[in-house]
Amino acid sequence: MRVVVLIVFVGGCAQKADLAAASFVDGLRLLGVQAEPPEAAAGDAVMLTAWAVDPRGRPIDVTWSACLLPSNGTANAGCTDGSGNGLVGLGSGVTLSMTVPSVDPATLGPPDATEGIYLPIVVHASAGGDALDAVYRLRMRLVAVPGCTLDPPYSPHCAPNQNPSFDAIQPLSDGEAPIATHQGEVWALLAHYTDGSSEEYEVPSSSNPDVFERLTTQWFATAGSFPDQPVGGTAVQKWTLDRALPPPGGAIDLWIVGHDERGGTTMSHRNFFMQ
Amino acid sequence: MRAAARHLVLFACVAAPALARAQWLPLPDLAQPLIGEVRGRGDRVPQAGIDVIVDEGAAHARTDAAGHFVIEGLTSGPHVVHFRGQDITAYDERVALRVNLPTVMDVFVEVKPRYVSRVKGRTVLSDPVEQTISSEEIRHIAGTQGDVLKAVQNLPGLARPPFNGGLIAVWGSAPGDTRVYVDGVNIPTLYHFGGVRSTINPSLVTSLTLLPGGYDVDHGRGLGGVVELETRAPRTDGLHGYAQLDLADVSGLLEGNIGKVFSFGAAFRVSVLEFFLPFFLNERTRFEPKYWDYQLKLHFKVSSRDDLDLFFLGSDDELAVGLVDTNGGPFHEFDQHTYFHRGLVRWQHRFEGGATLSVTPSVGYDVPYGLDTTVGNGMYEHTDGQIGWSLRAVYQQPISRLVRFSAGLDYEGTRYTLDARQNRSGLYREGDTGDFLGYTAPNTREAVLSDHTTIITNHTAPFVALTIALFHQRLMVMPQFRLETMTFVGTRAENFKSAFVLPEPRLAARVRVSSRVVLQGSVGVYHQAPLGADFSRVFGNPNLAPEYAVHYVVGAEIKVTGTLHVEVQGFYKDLRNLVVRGVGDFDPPLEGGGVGRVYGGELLARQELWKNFFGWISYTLMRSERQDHPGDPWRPFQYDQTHILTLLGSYKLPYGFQVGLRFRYVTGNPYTPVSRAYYDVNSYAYVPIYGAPYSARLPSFNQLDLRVDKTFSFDLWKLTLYLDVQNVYDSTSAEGIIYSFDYKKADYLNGLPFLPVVGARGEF
Repeated sequence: MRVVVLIVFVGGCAQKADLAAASFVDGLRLLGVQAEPPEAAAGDAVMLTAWAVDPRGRPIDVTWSACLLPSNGTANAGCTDGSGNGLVGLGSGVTLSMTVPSVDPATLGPPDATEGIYLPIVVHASAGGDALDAVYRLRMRLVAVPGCTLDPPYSPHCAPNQNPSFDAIQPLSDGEAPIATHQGEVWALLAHYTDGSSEEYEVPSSSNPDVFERLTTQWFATAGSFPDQPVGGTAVQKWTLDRALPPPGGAIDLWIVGHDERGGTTMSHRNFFMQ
Repeated sequence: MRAAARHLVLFACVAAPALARAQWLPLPDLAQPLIGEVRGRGDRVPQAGIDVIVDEGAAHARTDAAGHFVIEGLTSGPHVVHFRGQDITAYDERVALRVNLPTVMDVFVEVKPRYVSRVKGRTVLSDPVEQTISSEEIRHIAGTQGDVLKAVQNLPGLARPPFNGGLIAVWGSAPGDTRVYVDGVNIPTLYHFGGVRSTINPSLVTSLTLLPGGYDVDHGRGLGGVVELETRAPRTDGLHGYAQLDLADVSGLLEGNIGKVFSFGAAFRVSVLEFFLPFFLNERTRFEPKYWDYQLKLHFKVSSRDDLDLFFLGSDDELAVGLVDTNGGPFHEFDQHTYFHRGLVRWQHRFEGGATLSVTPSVGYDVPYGLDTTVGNGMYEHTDGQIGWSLRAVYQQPISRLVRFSAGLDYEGTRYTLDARQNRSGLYREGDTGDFLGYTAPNTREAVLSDHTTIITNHTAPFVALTIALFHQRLMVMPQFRLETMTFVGTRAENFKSAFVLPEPRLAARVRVSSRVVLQGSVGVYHQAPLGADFSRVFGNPNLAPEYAVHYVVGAEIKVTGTLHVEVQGFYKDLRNLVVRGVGDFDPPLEGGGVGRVYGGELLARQELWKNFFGWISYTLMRSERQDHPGDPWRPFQYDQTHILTLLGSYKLPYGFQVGLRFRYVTGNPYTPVSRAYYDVNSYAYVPIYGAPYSARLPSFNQLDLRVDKTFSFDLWKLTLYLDVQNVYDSTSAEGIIYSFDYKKADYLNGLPFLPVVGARGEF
């Protein structure tokens, strides 16, 4: 007899108010990682960028490693146990240019729901006495999706994944000029993606083989609260300036991270100040 | 002539003055007969054997089996008619009898509640360890909302499920290891999801028996225990029924006779919970639980020795859960739909000489688990479905005063189908780690695999048993044997065949040490088939063999008084060949070879109805452990609860009031703590890494429940209003652990707070 799913939902909906929301940034956090390109083959050059932030202003150190331990799609737990076993150092720095190592596809596990296989890249960030581990899974062009080819020319809906991008964060202005706000203000924000950010691709094993990428947007800030996290790509996000507010004149950071479901990411940042 | 004339004159001279003084008395006015019928208030049941006394004893009659009486020879005019009986409240009524017409009385009397506290005696072929509770007694137990089938959770040996839900985990076994039978036919679940309500209308249930372990050969295929429900024949004394409404559901029953040999009973229940829940949820959350069930029973009194029942029953649970984004579109949702339907025929024959035969064929269709989940573009599904058919036949024959023979056949066949698109790990299994109670949502980081398979099973078990009474029936020995034969045939994606012949010897004994003390014990072998989904080549292993257990039980019953009984039991269960996760790179997803051990003791002190009070104290001390693979350390079972204490009682007050209390204390469940976590960028979520399985334990649970009933009896119907308050002093019980988004902080997820439930029930 299966565990009653009702119990699970009750548990999931009963998040305590005193457990801070993921959108509130008050210390070292890794908001996202971007790989350009986000889908690569062995030997390709890829630029990795870690969006690590620390509102306390401490310098952030980032090291990168590729994890070659066998996985089932999820990174092997040994990748982050601190032993270093199975890790191949790639370098350090907030941005890193790397050459994708050769990998036995069998160690990466079977494809996920998007027919992708991924190389786990371990990101270790530290600032002051705080540290965190993260894993970015780089989509690999090692095994062709049925009906597609690994090399160009590509069949329709078989082109390598590209990173999405924002063309506006409405109604905010572009650029780094701080935007005035005040206590209690409610912002209705919309992350607007450029055309083509939601790519169509093939999932032959699904009952619906042609799908469009579903874009997801995460919102982070050093003050205020969001009712939902994350939200669908075309959804309006409400940001209420109701907590952890700096004194008048103080700065507030807002970060917006966009994801497609195949490892592609984009980020934007806005500054605010309290009136 | 002259003498006769002289006598006449003498008579006239003597009598004339007397005659002249005489008062002419009128002849008495005899009334027409007084005819009447005496019935109970509320249920209109005819009352037999009631004394009908006119005035101070001028006339007397007794009602017959139909409640009728006739009294003749009374004078016309006013009289007082007294109605007296052991089971009724004394009642008097004035009546004016007439000369020209009979007087008809239609009398409704207050019937004293008949609490039939039926604990099955330790008679022949009775299981050494069983607890039976009757429906009248337990309807008033606090915390059960009048659902008599939930009362089983108050018996010793049962672990308290999370959120007091409907899982039956008995003597340290998994909920799926305990089989539930209705009139001898297995059903997949006793409760609607979450234990909200039972799937069988309690008004049709005449007894509920829990066999926590060491049960006899007429049952098998479960390493845990057995729950037996026996339904009653529909009433034949007119049309009766009830309707009930509370915050959870609306239910009703109608029963009666059709002619002299047929009777019917029809019951239903439909949830209304989904109409109230939106008031407690935010607009972004979709949570829609729905359930319903039905029962239709036809009874045919074929002859004085034969009864034939036709019984249809079914239950349906549907739950839709979703988190909705601002545009109203689904972002993460799942839909669960489980149901079962059964049709059975039961023929019972009583031979001359005391032998009995019962034959019960049945067919059914189950979807014990149907789940569709959507996470982003990822769609996952898991649907189990099966068509089942069974035949149970039991013959019992007294051979002599000291020996009784029993034999039978227990056959079950299924055609099971699995359609799944899910992670390789499939659904949750006991022993898995996870975010909450071991459950994890589909993992978009992992591969998604598919399997569509069909498994045909045929399990046949003939059994025999003897009951031998020795030493003036002070010692009863019950040697038993069951030959379980299990076959599995895989088709479609799988293609395999396997068969197992599994002897199951069992032995039970009872020793009457004195008129008040009985010692008992049993030992037996039990097997359990793996689940159909476990044979999947993609998610399980077609080469699995049945799981196996040996139960050892010893105990004593002490009859302290005529209504106070104390029972103590000690038990040990040795579990082998348990289905567990494969761990090696080349291991299949599932494999046999896990082992377990359960040991402990329980106490039940039970006061049957005495001076308007009944209740019991039950306590269990227990340890349940598992070793998943050779060399692994022993770990606690998911539902290992060291101490389980329940105290409950109910007292009948005057004026139709009844009050009940229940107190429980239970050791907290074990859980697997998170040792660290990392951030998975692609799924924008932290991934926990768990410590040793079940190496931590939640705080203990304690709760007080209260119930108050008030019954209004009218001539033709009864109305009961009830208030059932769970968690009177608002105790915070930890049901699980919830973590901050990065798993750096943790807090307890608490159970239901103070919760009053009001309801109304009308019966006729």
